[in-house]
Amino acid sequence: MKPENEAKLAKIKKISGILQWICKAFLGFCVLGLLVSTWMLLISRAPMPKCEGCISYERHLWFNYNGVQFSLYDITDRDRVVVGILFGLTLGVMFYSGYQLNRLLGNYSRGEVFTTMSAGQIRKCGVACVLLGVMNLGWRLVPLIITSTYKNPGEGLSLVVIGLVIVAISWIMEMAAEMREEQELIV
Amino acid sequence: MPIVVNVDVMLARRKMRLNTLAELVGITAQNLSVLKTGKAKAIRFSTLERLCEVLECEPGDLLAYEKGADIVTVENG
Repeated sequence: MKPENEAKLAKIKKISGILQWICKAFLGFCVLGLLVSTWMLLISRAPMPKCEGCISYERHLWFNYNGVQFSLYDITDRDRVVVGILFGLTLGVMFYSGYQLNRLLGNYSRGEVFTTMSAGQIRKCGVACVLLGVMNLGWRLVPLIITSTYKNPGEGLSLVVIGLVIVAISWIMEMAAEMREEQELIV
Repeated sequence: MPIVVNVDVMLARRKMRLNTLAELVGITAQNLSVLKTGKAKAIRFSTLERLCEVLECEPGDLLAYEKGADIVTVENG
């Protein structure tokens, strides 16, 4: 390999390594978010004792989603389950997205940039993007279920479309990488 | 693949190292290793010509056809 190309590859490996650490922090944030949201849904059940100087939790656990406000303390058990499932699914999909991106960056940090494996990993990132778009649509149901108020946030299916485009591009990249790998085996 | 490449046999006969042969032929040692291990999908006539010139042999000394010799290479994925 030419020296300038080796320098570029070294740079790719270094930057990918740094981005991988950021990704891992994001994965940790997703796990923390799941724990916090579960805790919030559970502890906002019982009424807090009223005492002077005590922190009144029910006043602080307000949730504001797209201009619709509701207190976690006031919602019914059925709604709590629904919100909990949506939380779990959303954070699960976010974790999946971060995990696939982490694996892709792992490939890049090892110098496997234009390979069939990396192209397959990009396809999985595209699928994750589609799932995030679907979950984004699902979250519009939260104010509808809890306060019977529906507000169209105006954001369309952009994430789903972007995800599908990434999947399509990854298919092309995978085929091109296969052609390249076969070409490398011609001596 | 039924086509077998006998580069290692010729290297032993000529008492030559792989790196030396690669340098004389004008290809990388990695490419020559691909050829030697049977992973190559194709070989250029120019490469075959240079190999025969350096190893002082015929193409038939380097290439052989063995029906049933199916070398399965495991690819990524």
